[in-house]
Amino acid sequence: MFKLKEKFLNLPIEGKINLILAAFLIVMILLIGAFWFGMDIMSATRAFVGGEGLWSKAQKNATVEILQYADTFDQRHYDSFHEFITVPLISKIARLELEKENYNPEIVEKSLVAGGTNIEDVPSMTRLYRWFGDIGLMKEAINIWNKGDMLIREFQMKGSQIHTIAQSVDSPSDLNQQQTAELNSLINDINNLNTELTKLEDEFSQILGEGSRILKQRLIIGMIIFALILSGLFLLFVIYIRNIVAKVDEAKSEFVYLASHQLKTPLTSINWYTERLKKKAKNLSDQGKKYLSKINRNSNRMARLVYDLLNVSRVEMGGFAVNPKESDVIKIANEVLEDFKNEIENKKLNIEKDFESDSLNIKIDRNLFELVIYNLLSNAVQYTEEDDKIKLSIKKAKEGTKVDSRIIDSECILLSVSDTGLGIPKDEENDVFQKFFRSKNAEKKNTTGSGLGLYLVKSIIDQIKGEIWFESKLNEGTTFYVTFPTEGMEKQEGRKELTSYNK
Amino acid sequence: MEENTQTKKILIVEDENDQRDILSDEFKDQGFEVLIAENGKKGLNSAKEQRPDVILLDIVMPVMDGISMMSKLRESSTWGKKVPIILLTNLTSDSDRVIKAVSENDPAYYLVKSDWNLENVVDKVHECLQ
Repeated sequence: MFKLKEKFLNLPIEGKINLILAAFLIVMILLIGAFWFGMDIMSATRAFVGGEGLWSKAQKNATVEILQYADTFDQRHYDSFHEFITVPLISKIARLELEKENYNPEIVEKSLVAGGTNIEDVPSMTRLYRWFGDIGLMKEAINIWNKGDMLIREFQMKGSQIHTIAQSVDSPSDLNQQQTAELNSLINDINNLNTELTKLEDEFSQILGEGSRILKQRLIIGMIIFALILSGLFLLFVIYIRNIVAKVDEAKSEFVYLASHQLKTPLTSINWYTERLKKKAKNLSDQGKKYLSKINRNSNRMARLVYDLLNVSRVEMGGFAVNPKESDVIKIANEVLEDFKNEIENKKLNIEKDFESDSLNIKIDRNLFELVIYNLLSNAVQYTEEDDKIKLSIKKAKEGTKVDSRIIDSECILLSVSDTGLGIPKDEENDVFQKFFRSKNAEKKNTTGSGLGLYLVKSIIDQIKGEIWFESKLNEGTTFYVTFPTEGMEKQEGRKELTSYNK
Repeated sequence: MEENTQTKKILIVEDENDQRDILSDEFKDQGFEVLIAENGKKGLNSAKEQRPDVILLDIVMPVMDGISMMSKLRESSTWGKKVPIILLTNLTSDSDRVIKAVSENDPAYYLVKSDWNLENVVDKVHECLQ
């Protein structure tokens, strides 16, 4: 047992899952098999009881006919007697055939059908007889059947004896005394046989009835056991999968942590060297300076990408921490704007600020707020042409305020970033917050972007119970709106914190 | 002679060769006397012997990490309690939390969150020497 457990634990994950699934499948097949088996036996039992009904009905009719014959000597009654007695006689052929080691199914079928059984019941009746004929209640039932057949044989003989007597005279009134006595004795025998047979017939049905009741009970118990095993296996499976997921999750976050650290270190070195080079290499040609700033820009871009990936993977692991602190959102917004100073100057962009006041203190997680505003501004700066306008607005919005096509439903802080850039095509509107989404017209312009920024922003906003949406007109520009409660963000414990970009 | 009294001593504890080199070059250019160490253990010894005016300390290092070195130095002497220490960090959230725990109520503690730019590091050093 211990060895088996060890063997199981040594299997690779896939092997373990396959093994559990296989066990699942086997129990399932067993369950279905047991169900089918039980139903089959039930149905066969029913067919046997039905057959017995026909058997005893024929026997009763034969009794009535032979007694009438003995009374009237009317040949038609004797013919009917013969006809009725065939039914029990013919089913005896089936029984005898089924007793043989190499039985002939055709004979069994023919004789059972002749006995009034439905042809479709034959296979399950055969199975029941062959499999259980030697045990328990079925054995008892077959014994009774056997006894019945013997009695029927006697019954038939008594019938022929009556016939012999009847043949010897023209009418009952011609019988001599001895013949009458013989006939009466035969009638008496027939009556006795009938009584005995009736008893046997009742017993036969009772035993089979008892058998099917026991079977029903066992079947129910069996089903319950199988169902319990199945649910147990299922529970095991779920627990196992949960453990795997937890481990994978841990490994993933560990990997992301290591990868980000390892990637960041050489990037930092590159950046520091370029910085030093810029300062030291005064004699560098214009082209050299240009190349240097390209290196600088690209390493910056790469670093941001590393952070984006890091943050996205943390978001996807779920439950990142929110650590709100009283902070001045206007000040933070200005600081983030400062990060884009060079690009804004290079593109000669016109920045319009529309702030509630000079400072606005709210309890927010600085990192998260920075990430949101940074990504929105970064998009705006990237996707606008030279001399275009970008508007950054942070205001309190009262309930009922109309913002473009929306009405604010409760008081909140409303942040918006508008650009006069390319705009988002209508057919792409639903995909904007998808991971790796990049607008087709933005891609055409070959502007850089990972398609992670808005996905990240949306994930953050969802977590802090805010809302984000946008209004866009093609070739006129886009405005992104973000709202969050005036009381700020709620503190949330989480295993990981998101990191804002190191500028 | 007067110039000599103004020469400041900086100890750079960093396991990454390139980064240690470039920080060393930068501060030499700025007129510092530069001491270097490649892990926390060596850094701790060097600090105790040489008593630098400021310590630049990386966090993730082999043998002894920056956080351990910092707490050991703070316990070592009155000088050790007061010397300004600047932690450099990639600021992955785990180290962030450790830093918070260590730095509470430490007046001589500085953190360069954005070690991404060399300029930020240099600025921070000057700021804590004033």
